[in-house]
Order: sequence, then structure tokens, then C-alpha cells
Amino acid sequence: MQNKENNFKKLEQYYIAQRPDKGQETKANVMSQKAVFGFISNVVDLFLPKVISVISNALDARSGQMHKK
Amino acid sequence: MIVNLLNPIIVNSEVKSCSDEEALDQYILTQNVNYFNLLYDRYSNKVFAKCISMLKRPDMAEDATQEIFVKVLLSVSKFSGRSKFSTWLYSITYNYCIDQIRKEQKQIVQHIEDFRYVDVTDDGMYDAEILETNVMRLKSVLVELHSDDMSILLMKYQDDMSIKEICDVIGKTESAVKMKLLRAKERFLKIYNSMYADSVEV
Repeated sequence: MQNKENNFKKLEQYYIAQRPDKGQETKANVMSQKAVFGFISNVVDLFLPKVISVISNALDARSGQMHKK
Repeated sequence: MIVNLLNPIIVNSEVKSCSDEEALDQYILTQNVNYFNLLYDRYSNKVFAKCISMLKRPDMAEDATQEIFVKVLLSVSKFSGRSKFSTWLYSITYNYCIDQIRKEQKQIVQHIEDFRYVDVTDDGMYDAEILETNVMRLKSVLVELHSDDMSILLMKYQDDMSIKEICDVIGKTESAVKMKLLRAKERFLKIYNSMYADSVEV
């Protein structure tokens, strides 16, 4: 198959030649989406354990009060 | 100070000489975007070409390219290294495009899976005729093909995937893939003949 003419490859090149800025704007968009996801995951990493500990403390305090009663 | 100034250059030259799999490993380890940029620069045009072949519209193809690379970014840790990076990327690309086409057109399955349990061999039947089709005619015939047929022909002829790699991408057995490929080639030639049977190729 390697020695035969392959017009599928030529068609691929034809489409690539039509791409206006060779995808630089798309690359910037991908990177900005990555930054957003990174920010969200950092926020979750930072605050989720705290939120969980606040909730569990509140639940412990509540069950302690119930026992006193 | 000088070492610090030279560092990005050294890093960039190191990055550029990486194989795809090394770049991906390094990106997972270091989160250095240069490694991801390298993969983007190597493959974004090819991904775009596949998207425009399947989705037809350049704006949709550009959006799809963006979505596919975001998917890659979010699922890099799922890449098992069982296949080549390019095979994994193209499998995300084809599956994404087929999903989009199904959503857009609510495309119903046009043909009944026809396995008939015959032993089909990939002996290159019709290869020469298909590969040598004039580029503009090839484009017109591919537009008329069902997305499943188009994707399997692109995998075979544009991406030079082996039958085993196509099996991994579409999740079918080897004999099913060979049968699908043969049917896709037959449908390609049927459409070609209906469009150009009477004309002389230029």
C-alpha cells in the first residue's frame, strides 16, 4: 500500500491548507479552558476538606447535644 | 542568572525531541504546558482535517478540534499506553465526530450489520481504485458516505491504522472490522460509480 498513490493523504493536506491560522486561536482557547479547570480543581482541593470538616464538626456537636438531653 | 535565561531554550529543545508518549508522560508528571503544546502542534491539523472531513463545516471542525483537545487534557491520566498516542487521539476524534453527527442529524443506522460469518481477509481488495481516486472526487464521495463508513476508510487509508488498531478504536472483533471495511469500500465504489460512471477522470 505504501508505494501506491494515496489521495486520502492529499485530501488531508488540502483540508489543512484551508485552516486559517493553523489553529493558534483554538490552542489559546484550549489553554484558557485548562486554566479554568485548574482553578476549579484547586478551589475544590483547598476548600472541600475544610467544608467537610466544618460539616462533620457541626454534626458531632449536634449529636453531643442530643446525648446531653 | 545566565542558566536561568537559557533554561527555557534547553527545555524547549528537549521538549521538541520527545516522542508523543514521552511528551504525554512528562506532561502528566510535570504539568509543563510545553509538552502539551508539542502534542497540539503535532496533531491539531490532522485532527482538524478529520473533523472537517466528517462534519463538513470549517467552523464546526474548529470547535470540534478544541473540544477534542480539552477532552484529551482532561483524560490524559486515562491513557494506558496500550496503543500509540495518535491511535488514542484519533479514536477520541472519530467517536466525537460520530456522536456530533448523530446528535445533529439524528442519523439512523442505514445499513444492517452484515457479518454472515464468512472469513473476510483484508487482502487490499479495491485499495488501488480507492486510493487513486482524484482528490476532489474523493472529497465529494466521502461527503455522501455514512459516518461509520467514512471513519473506517479514513482510519485505514489516511491514518494507516492496522486492523488491530481499528478494532481497538471501534471496539469490534477483527472479523467484524474486516467485514465493515469491505462493506465501506463497496459502498464507496457504488457511490463513486453513481456519481462519475459516465465522466472521464481529469
